[in-house]
Amino acid sequence: MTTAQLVEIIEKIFLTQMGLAHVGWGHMLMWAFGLFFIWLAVAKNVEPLLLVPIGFGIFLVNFPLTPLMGHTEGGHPEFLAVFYEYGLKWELLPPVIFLGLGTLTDFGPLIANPKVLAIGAGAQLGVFITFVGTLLFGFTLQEAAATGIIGGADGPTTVYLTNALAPHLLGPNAIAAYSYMALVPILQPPIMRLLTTPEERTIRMDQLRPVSQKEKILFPLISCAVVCLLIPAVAPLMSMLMLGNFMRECGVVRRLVDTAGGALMNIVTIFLGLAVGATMDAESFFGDGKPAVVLALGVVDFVFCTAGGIWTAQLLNRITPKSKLNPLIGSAGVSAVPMAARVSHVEGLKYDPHNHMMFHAMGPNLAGVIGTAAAAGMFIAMFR
Amino acid sequence: MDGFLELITSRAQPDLDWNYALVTLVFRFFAVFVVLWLIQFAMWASGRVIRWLEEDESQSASSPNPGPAAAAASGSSSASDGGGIDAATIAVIGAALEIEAQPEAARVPEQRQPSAWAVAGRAKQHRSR
Repeated sequence: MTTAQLVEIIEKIFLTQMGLAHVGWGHMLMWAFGLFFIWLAVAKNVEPLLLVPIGFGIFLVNFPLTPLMGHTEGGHPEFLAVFYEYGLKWELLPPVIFLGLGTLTDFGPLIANPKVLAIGAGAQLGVFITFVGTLLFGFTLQEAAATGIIGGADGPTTVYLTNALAPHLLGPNAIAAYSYMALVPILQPPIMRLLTTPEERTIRMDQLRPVSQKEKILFPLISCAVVCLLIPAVAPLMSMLMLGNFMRECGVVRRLVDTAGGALMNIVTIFLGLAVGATMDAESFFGDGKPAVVLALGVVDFVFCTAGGIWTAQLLNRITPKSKLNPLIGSAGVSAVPMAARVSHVEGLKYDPHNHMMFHAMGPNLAGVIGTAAAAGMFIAMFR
Repeated sequence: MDGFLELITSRAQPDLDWNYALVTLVFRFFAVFVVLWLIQFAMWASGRVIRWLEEDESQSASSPNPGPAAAAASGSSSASDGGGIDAATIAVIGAALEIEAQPEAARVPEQRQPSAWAVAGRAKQHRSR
């Protein structure tokens, strides 16, 4: 073997079998991006359950020539592509997450004061405003709908809708949704203070009535029926949420509840996070610049969703002046459960140390989950 | 991956039907209210029915029982008012309640099933005797 042949073999190995020669600045930026999310999760404890698998997925998928998100010569999906294809493309993982969420959710505060369901609807204002905003930036109707839903602050719904309408934006949308959800305690208080008067912030609400177990058992059945009849497109999400909640409240399937809200949800969260992160390869992220617009408009979306909730609470106070709501609970209409409710509670305590609003704020918070799912269902029905 | 980052300028798609986009938007925003209002109405109605049924049940449960009342009126003592329960019965009921209140493990003496290995060993020992 001559030296030239040896060099040729080494060169061939270097170029076709090693990733090093294919690393570009885009890959390095994405590594930094992935490591940033891992840092946020580990050092700052920001949504660690989601940002660790998402960040690692971003980091992992940006190593050139790795057999992770492509297809084999036989046409089979590679390792992470399996999670993506069968978990996300087949719309499996978000509904399973909703099943687990249903088992962990007590809808009591919402049942006790169903009036606050309107706040959950009003808090979707940002979703629709961002829809228009993204259209101005050259997005298609489908892309605009998928981006708008970020403000609903509901991760599984965002993933579900984006996958249905604009799967190429899955990574940026999920990242924006989960990141801004984690930033709710920073983003919301200034808006809450701006849109409410000091008198409004000290309003004490009526004690919520006790909710019977029968009502709690009926709620998932009724909600499921109404949503499935009116917006069948969102049935996979809502039916699983309500099934989980029904299992919790009926009290006869404790083992299933433990599994759905525990081990199953944890397993699915790992796969969902990895699959979402793995969609963020450098080629698609920097391809058309839309992810940057998504991240920028996500903030606007959150601001208007928070404002929409507060304005709806103020409107309800005008309609029913006898039982006034503290408008600070309006911001909890975005469905970052329970973080948004906790922000309302903490903000309320600043102005009246004896005004504990956590239970009251959980009502709009849970209404936000249903409202976001309803908005997503309408977008899917319209644009798919 | 060509190494270029293309930033989008604020330019909407030329073939976008804005009338359609905006009308459907407004319509759907209010439709979210309608859906949640229907859930609200259904919850309010079912809540009223359930509370009415529960109040009905509690009223019928708390209404006076004519049997003991009639017995009291006739002068005979009745078990329901405690008059006919002697001290021994009360002690037995108290002991039963005490046992019931204890955790399961404390009530039931631990009964271990001997393992197959132990059973075989004992049988062998028995045969050797």
